[in-house]
Amino acid sequence: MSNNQRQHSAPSPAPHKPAKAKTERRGFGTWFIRNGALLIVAGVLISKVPGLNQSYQWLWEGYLKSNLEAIKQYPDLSTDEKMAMKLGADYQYLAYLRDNTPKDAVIYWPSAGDFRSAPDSTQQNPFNGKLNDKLTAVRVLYPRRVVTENEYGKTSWSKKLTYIGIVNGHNTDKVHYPVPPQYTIGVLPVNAPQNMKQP
Amino acid sequence: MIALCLFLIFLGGFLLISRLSLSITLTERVGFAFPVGLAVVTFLMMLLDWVRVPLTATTCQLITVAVLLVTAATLVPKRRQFLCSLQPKLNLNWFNALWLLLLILLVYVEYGNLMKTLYFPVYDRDSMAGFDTIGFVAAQEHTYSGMSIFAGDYMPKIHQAGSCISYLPMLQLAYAYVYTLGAETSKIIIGLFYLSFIVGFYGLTRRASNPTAAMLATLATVFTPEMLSFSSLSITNVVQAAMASTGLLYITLWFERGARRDLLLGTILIAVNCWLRAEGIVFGATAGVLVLIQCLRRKASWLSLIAPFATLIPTVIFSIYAAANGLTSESALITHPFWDAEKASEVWRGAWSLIGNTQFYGWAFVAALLALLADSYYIVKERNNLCVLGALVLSIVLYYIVLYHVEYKWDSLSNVLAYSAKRYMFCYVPMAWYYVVTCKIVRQGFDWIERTCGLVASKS
Repeated sequence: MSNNQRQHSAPSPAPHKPAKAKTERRGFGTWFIRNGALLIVAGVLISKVPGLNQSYQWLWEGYLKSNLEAIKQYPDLSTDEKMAMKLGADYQYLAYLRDNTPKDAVIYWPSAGDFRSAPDSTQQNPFNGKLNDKLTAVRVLYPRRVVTENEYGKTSWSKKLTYIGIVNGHNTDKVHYPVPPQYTIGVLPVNAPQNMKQP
Repeated sequence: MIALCLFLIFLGGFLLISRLSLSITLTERVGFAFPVGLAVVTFLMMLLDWVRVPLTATTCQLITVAVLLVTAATLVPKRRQFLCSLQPKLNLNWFNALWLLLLILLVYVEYGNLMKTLYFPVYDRDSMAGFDTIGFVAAQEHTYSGMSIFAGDYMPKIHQAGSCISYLPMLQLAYAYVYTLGAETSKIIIGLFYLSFIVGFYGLTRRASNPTAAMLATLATVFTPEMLSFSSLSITNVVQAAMASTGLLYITLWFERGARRDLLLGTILIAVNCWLRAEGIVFGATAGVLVLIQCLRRKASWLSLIAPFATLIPTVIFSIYAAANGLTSESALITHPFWDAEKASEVWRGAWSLIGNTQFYGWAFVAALLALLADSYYIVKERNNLCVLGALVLSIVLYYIVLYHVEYKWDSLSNVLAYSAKRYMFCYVPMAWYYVVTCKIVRQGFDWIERTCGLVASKS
């Protein structure tokens, strides 16, 4: 019906309602064939089109599949082991500090520079210095208190230090007694050298 | 106990949304119940902390039960209608194999993602140097405002610009909630939040289009590379994106259809987004513009303007709480108008490089652009979907205006564009896919698929 015809047609007394469509259940065979064809088209599109974008490929292979495989391979790892899997030696060192200091300890947390500079360039440095943020150290060491390089000698807590974190031979000058040069990684009490632990 | 309390939070949220309107579909109610319930519980945790009630396990449990009882009590007069609304209205006339295939893929993707979320403890830098640690220490010390890590003598930089002390605390308090109850990690919160979003987004999109198109939009949103990988981390970006995008989409649905329930649910979801991140006000402002337009067109009562203002309640109350408890940091916002051509140019270039990035966001924005071009005839002739398009564009523009008005004292603008803005753009991914499947031409295509391949053939 053209617009012209519509304008000239007499108005209906009641609001026009669209005729309700009659429905009828489709036979299984028809449904199956139509949906089979739909699935073939969808399957081709889904298998080919996302492959055109590398990040979709990464998501499927590198993210979903590889994480599920890792979870299947190591189902019973402890929280510390999972953290070390993701964060490496820096986390292992944090956990070492936590396990070898009393809960009321005030610990000097080495700087990113301490972690990144190996004492000997011929040695491989296991650390990357990415866990240098104070709150990150607090998360693992709590309820121990943490003092960072910027705060050393400036804040009230830095004057209450009881332990010094030693990495790559750095910070041995912060303890009040001589430390053997071969002591490069560990944690030392500031005052009483009862036992010198090295991880 | 943790599982029970989280279920009670879900139930509280479910009843609260049911209280708004019983005509909100079951899928939407199930989807948004947990985020809304969690927002209410954490908001009450903040208020109790303000009056120095210790945030212990008992306190958290009592808050949860109180929310549940109050919401249940408000539904008592409508109990019959409520029970009726729980019966799923199954109409499978549209059922086709494409929907099923997309559902299977969606379940696999989310299963893999949820397993990863729950398997690994919190290890990402931003969570360990902020959200998760704050929640953990709050749980140990039974306080938020009085925490040792918020004390200036212990954390000398805590009041500097960009410090985590002034972050909106919803997620931190949610983590404190589960840590208080004895959880080893807080990842369950993120896992449930994202799962809820998937269900809710499907329910919302289904109402605006049809089941098959909604399933495609949901899968496409979930299968967004950078967004999915960030959804397993304990940071606020993805959960805020979930609330901001769906909240604004509800407002657009109200704009187009005028149903009060959409305005109410949209307002609540945008308020939750504001309770998660300060930049969330961008979505409140966009909602405000949409509501104002409807008021000016006389299609809505001026009272509707209360809604966008209500989205700001969490931000305003938190600001007062923060000021009263010394949880403030140096402001980085430039409040006067100014023109810096170099900065504007950097923001402009950063915005375009992000919008055009198919590595981070997959084909979300490209697909939206193609849908816009394909639908241009209907946009011009029928103003089809113009509201969603307008909301998407306006909220993006407003966000970059906010970025331009920040003084970068704690970080460089290029870093903020490369990291923060990149993650903020997650908000627009669900909106882009929603736009694609609600375009008339796309919707007609999916309607045809459901007519041709559904269980029932229709004859006019």
